[in-house]
Formats: sequence, structure tokens, C-alpha cells
Amino acid sequence: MARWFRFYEKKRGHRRTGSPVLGMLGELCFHGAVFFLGCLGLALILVSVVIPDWRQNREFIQTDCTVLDTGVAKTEKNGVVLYRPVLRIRYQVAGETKVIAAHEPSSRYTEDPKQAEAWVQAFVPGQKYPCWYDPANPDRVVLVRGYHWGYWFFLLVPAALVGVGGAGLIYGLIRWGTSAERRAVWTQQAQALSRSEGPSAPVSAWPGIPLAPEPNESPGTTLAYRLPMVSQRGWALAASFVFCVLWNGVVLIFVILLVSRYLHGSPDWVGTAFLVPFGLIGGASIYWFFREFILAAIIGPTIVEVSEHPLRAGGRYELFLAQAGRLKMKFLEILLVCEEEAIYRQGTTTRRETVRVYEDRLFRQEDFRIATAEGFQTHCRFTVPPTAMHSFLSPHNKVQWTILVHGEAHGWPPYQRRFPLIILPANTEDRL
Amino acid sequence: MPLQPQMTIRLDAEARTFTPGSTLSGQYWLEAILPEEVKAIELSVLWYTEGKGEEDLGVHFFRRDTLDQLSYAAGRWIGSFSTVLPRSPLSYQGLIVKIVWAVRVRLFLAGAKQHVEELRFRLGSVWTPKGIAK
Repeated sequence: MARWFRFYEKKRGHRRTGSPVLGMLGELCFHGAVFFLGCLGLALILVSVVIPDWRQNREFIQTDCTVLDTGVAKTEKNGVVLYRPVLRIRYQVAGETKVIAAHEPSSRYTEDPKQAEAWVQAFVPGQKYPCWYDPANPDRVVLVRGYHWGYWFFLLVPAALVGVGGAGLIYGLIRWGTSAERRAVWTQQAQALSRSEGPSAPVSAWPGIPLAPEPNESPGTTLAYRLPMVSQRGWALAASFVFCVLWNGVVLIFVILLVSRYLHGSPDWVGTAFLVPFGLIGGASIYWFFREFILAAIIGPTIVEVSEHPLRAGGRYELFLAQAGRLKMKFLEILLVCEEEAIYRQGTTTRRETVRVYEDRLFRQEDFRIATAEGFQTHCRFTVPPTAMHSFLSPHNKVQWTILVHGEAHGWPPYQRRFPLIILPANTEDRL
Repeated sequence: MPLQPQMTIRLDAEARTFTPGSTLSGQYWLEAILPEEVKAIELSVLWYTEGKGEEDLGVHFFRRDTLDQLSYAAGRWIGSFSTVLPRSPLSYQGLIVKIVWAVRVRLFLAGAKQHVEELRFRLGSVWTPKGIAK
């Protein structure tokens, strides 16, 4: 007989089995503990710092006092010798004269006796100064008021624990008696509500299919729609630039230090030898950056336009390609590809896997030269397979259609530029 | 020995493949249950992903019933449902991404116990990829 409560966890194929009840209980306990710790910390800081600060500045009553005696007291706390100013004062509360040591906040403790003496020197015995006493306990009096903002800053830590723990606790309690389907409905309703406030309301017409931009957002010059390009080359260029600047910036500081030692007649041979490999890496990073830069500059812009967008399975379309740059090409080809992408967790790592499930070469030309200012231009027609899977997008899974422009110029490494497409199911007349 | 609830889902149509925009209707039956133990019954028409990636879920139709809202005949509690299917996402058996459509009934019993029954069906008809030869 199947048990409804399982203590241990095991994996069958891609699916995990185990006790969801125990798992949720564990999560609730964890978030409850975090929330409790946060509340405890918050209460401690409030009681020890925030409320006393607030009362001293807002509720204590002002009066005048006479300083009778001053000094510096010495105490030892956790093996550290600390000094604090001591002021004996006389003041009156409701006709009663009080002579006591003024209360000093903990922030007035210092390891430096001279600093404590400097604080004391601000008060001259026999002189009158304003002071503030606690109406609830008139023996508690201060001569210096103010907020200890440094201690208030520590409120952030327990506040964050309360926020994280509380949110986890609320989420866990909602999950406790709620099915995955019901939670999904709530999520969808919340998303629909947020979308209805924006201009893109008709998204629910095609659930699971990414929203295609309006044709007038990216009109083409030859065909109706110009596809936006997604290039990994741009990221490589940016990454090479950032790495090159940061690495060589640090290396340059050490080079300057070493050169100055040479100029002062005390060369550091060990430091120089140590710096050589770092310098070589810096040189390689400069080469990497300029290679990416020249590749981006030499291989000019690629433009892809289609006669209609979004496309439909079974539809026949025209495509226009323009490739700029004066190059002697080994080959240039256009591919229509469909790829599946899955995001999954392996231990604590999130992984992404992509598999190409369809590829159709729409165009290929070999050994030619791009010599004109307009670059290389070509038109071709293609058909999306009638039973093709439409574009699909969910948080962890994706079916992505792409026009891929793949080429290689003589003397340069191959390059690839991607132009994502949206494909709708066959036999649909409606537009996104 | 406690009763083991039995749940059955039946679709009105004989075929298990539906076209987008068509109507999906059917009934679900609950048998061998103690009425006082039943807290709620949730019926969903939904899609979810299978395969390499984490599971994603989309609910097209959802209803939460109590036993009073079902009819009772011949020793079984009967609930019916009907919904117009959406235009997407279509059922898909990819290499690492699969989209499964199903009617799912979830029975909530006293003591936080749940029983789930599911009947899969296909929405639309798209290819099953074989992959690209390297």
C-alpha cells in the first residue's frame, strides 16, 4: 500500500519522490526560526538602543545642573581597558536637590584615556550646564544628548531576517494547504492583473507563446519586418574590454611601483619576476580585446528582414539578407533552426541545456567577395514545416525558432548571428 | 483498514486528441469515500512540462468543489466539467522539452491527505522531432 507520508527522498528517472509534507514542514521550521531570531534581535536593539535614544531626546526634561567634580573612570571589559568620563553634578527636581554621577551612554567608553579627558575638559567644576533627567526616574540624567545612528544601523540585520523569515513563513503557510494548480491559478491571475494595467493586454490569446513585437516597432526597408539580432559577439567584446581594463589597470600600478624603485637605484628583481606572468596575461587580454573589436568592425552589420512576423507553421515567406563589410568570404549561409532549451538544477547549480531539433539551410554561397558599399544582398523564400512545433516559452522550458546567419571570411574566425523568430501554430488567422 | 478512495475521469469524446478551440467535456467519479472526510475536490484542465528542465505548469480551467456540489448516484459522487480548449501551447514530445495536457482531479481529505487522478489528452498535432544528425 502506498504511504502518503514518506520520510526519505529518492530519485526515479527525472522525477524526485519523497515527503512533500516533511519538506514543507522543514521549510516552515527554518523560516520560523529565521523570523524568530530576527524578532529577537529587533527587540534587543529596540530595548537597548532605539527606545533609550528616543526617550532621551524626546521625553527627558531639561533643567540646569552644577558640575561638582570631573574625572575619568577606568574599567576592564573582556580584557580590554576602557575609559569613560565621570561628572558629579547637582540639580533640582521638584524642589528636591540631587547629587549624582551623570549617566553616560556606552558610546562614551573609549580605549584612549586622552579622549576621555578631552570629553571631561568640556565641563568646568563650579559652572552651570543644561542637563536632562528622566521623568520616570529623576536619578537618571544626561548632559549630552543625541542619537547613536551607528547602533541604529544594526537594525538592518534583524529587519532583514524578519523580512526573509516572515515572507518564507507566509509563503509556506499558503503552500501548506494549497495545490500546485491553485497556486498556478493565483500566479496567472496576478500576472494578468499586472498586464491589464499595461498596453500589452492581448497576451493571453496565445498562452505559452512569447509575445511578438508589433510590425511597426521594427519595420524593414526591403521587406515588412526587420528581425532584431541577438549576438554573442557583443557580449564577448564587452567582457574582453572590462577584463582588459581592470587587469591591466592593476598590473600598471605594480609596474609603476617597480619602475620607481629602478629609478631610485633599488631594483626589485623578485617582484619583477613575480609580475612577468601577470604582464603576459595582460598582454593576452589586450590581444583578445583587439581581436574582438576588429572582428566586430570588419564583419559589418548583418540585416535580416522577413515578409511577415510572427510566422505560422505551414506558411511560406520571403527573407532578405544584407551583409556589410568589404570581405573575401569563404562561405555565407542562412539557416532556419528550432532549438529546445531546458533549465534545471543539479545540486545547487542551475544548468541550461540546448538541443537543436530542426535545421533547414535556406541559402549558402561560397568563395565570393563583398566589394560594394551596400554589401552583399540576397533574397530567398522558405516554408515553415506545417506540423512544426510553435514557439514556446515558460520559466524553465523553451522552444526557440531562429534565423541563423553563419559565415567565415578569409583570415578571420567563423562568426554566427542569431535572429529570433516567433512561430504560431498552423491554421490560425489571428495575430498576436 | 481505511477506505482507499477511487477516482475515475472520463471524457465525453472517444478520441484523446483535440483541436485548439474545441470543447473538452467529461465527468469524474469518486467512489469508496467517507463524505465527512472530504474537504474539497479540485478539478483542473492544465498543461505541464516534462523532460530535462524543471516542471512548469499552466492551468487553463480550475474549479474547487465541495461534495455537496456533486451529484450522487449508484454509490458514486459525480462531477462534470466542460471547457473550450485554448489555442496554445500544443502537446509536444520534444527531445528535452515535452508539453503534456491533462485533466487532473485532486481530492483533499481530512488529515492533510490528498489523492490525485489524471487523464492525459493531446491538444493539436505537431511533429515529434528526431534530432539533428551531427
